Amino acid sequence: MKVKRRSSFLEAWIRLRKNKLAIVCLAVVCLLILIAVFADLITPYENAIANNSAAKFAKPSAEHWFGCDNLGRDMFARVIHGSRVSLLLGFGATAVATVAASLLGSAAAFIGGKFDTVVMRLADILSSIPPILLSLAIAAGFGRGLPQLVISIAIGSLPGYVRIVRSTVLGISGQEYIEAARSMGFGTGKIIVSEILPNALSTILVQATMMVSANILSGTMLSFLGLGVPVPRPEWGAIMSDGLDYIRYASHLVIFPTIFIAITALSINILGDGLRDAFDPRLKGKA
Amino acid sequence: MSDILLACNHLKKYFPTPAGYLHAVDDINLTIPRGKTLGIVGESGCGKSTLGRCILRLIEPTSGEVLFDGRDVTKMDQKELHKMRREMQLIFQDPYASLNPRKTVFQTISEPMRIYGICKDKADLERRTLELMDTVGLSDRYINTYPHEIDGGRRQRIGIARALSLDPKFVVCDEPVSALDVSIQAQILNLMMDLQDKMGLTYMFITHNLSVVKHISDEIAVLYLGQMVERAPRNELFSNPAHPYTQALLSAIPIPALGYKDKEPELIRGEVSSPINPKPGCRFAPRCPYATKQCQEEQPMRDLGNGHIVACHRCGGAPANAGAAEMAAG
Repeated sequence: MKVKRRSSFLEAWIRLRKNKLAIVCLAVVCLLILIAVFADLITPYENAIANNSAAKFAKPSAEHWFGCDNLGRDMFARVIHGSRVSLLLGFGATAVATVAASLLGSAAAFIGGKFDTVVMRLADILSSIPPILLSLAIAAGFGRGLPQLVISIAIGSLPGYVRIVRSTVLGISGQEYIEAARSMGFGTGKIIVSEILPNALSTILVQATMMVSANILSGTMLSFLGLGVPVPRPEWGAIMSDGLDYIRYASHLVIFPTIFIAITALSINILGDGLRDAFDPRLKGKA
Repeated sequence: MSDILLACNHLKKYFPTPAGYLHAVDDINLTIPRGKTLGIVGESGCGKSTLGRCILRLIEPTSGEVLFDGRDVTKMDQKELHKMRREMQLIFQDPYASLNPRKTVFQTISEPMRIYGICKDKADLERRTLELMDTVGLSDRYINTYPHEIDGGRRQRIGIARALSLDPKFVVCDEPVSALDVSIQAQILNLMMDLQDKMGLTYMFITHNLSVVKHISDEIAVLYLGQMVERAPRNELFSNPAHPYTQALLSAIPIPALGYKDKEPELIRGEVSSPINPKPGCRFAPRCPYATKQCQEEQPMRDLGNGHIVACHRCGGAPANAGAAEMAAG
């Protein structure tokens, strides 16, 4: 009998492939990322920011696929180029928050004692500051820009995330196999990475997928308040909130960015569900 | 090299609770000779498992010392302890909870060897893992399976293989068969006894099952509320129990014979008293049919000879200081 040399990721991929819906969603997510990366090849950035008073509120046509907005800017170009900022916000802030929350939450739960108290009280303090105020403070301290925006959104979602990871890990670290690992000479870091996190993965993944769409919308809110990316640069949330004023007679200004946000959120959520099942060997064959 | 592998002297573990200190392990003295098995029996909550974990320092003892091969485990720093873990292993009670559900059999068994760098390359690791599986009677077709795909008996074999992977000298077995079917219990017990012969292992076997402990032990210690009330070689204990608690325990073993009518079993009345801030004197006294006033004041250790030590007034014999006497003999 040969030992299979497959890593757990490869095994998860094999299991994921059986889940058709998740694969479709994975394709959609990949497509969105490709659009964001190659936006310049699809349509020049100029189209997204050039005003054209002749084409104000133009309805969708062969020339302007998604129509034009109140300043006559091509909506298709704006949505395509907006995906860059929006996806970066959604994925970037989620990735930062997920890594930070996983490490902090599991370390707090597993090490316990004073470290736990310090981390959790910091989380309490952070969660008592309104997210907008927090972003304001970060913008005031570090200036405006995309990295600052990503960090401030990530920090805003951190307290709840840390709490969820911590309670999951508390349940896991009471299990006997953790004690077994300790008696086998595993160090704390090794136990967290190789014993606890894989078992907490399902909770973390589900939480992360729900956060992607929430983070895109947080970016919108901050852009709306002028804390987001500088004005002419398109971003789905900003496009949507600009269009909101004209929804009664130029509904395409809202519909197109909304469709993109919805598709992104939906496919990431379904993909996340699929991933969670794929990473759980107990569900082998069921999904 | 002395033939005593492990000795506990005045080992104590008190857990702080809102009501006071819970005396889970209270002043335990014991010794285990190399290659032998010490059975630890007692009812639920008497501190058996805590004792086992204190010896391995998975729980920090409050005070006392644990001498393993002459070195005090309780005073080791992290580095020494890490080295020591190779030589002292634990087999768990529940084979369902003690295996990581996300790891295959291969990963579970090979991981400890990777941590200690026992094997030089992957092929060697694989070979040793298969060897261990063979040793514990686990077919090699299970190597890529996950714990949830396997039955309890085989899972326990994985747990044993994992414990043996580091080639330990001493294994604490924490009720390793109590979660298994009776038919599987015998298989696992026999496997463990074979392994002991083959690898020269020393066991501390924790259980509440008297027939199991009789089967596997050389010497038996009886625990009651964190204290050792009696310790004797196996046959001596079963034929000649001295402590009233041991007597009651043994009389509760059902006798499988038709129409057998002897005396009624000596039922113990009352409940176990609280282990939180216990009163001085004998802890069994409130339930003991022979208790006298003296029992509430002190609890002397008596040596009845032949390694039979009991914590009771009523038994004759010379006063004994269990730990010291045993160490001198060793």
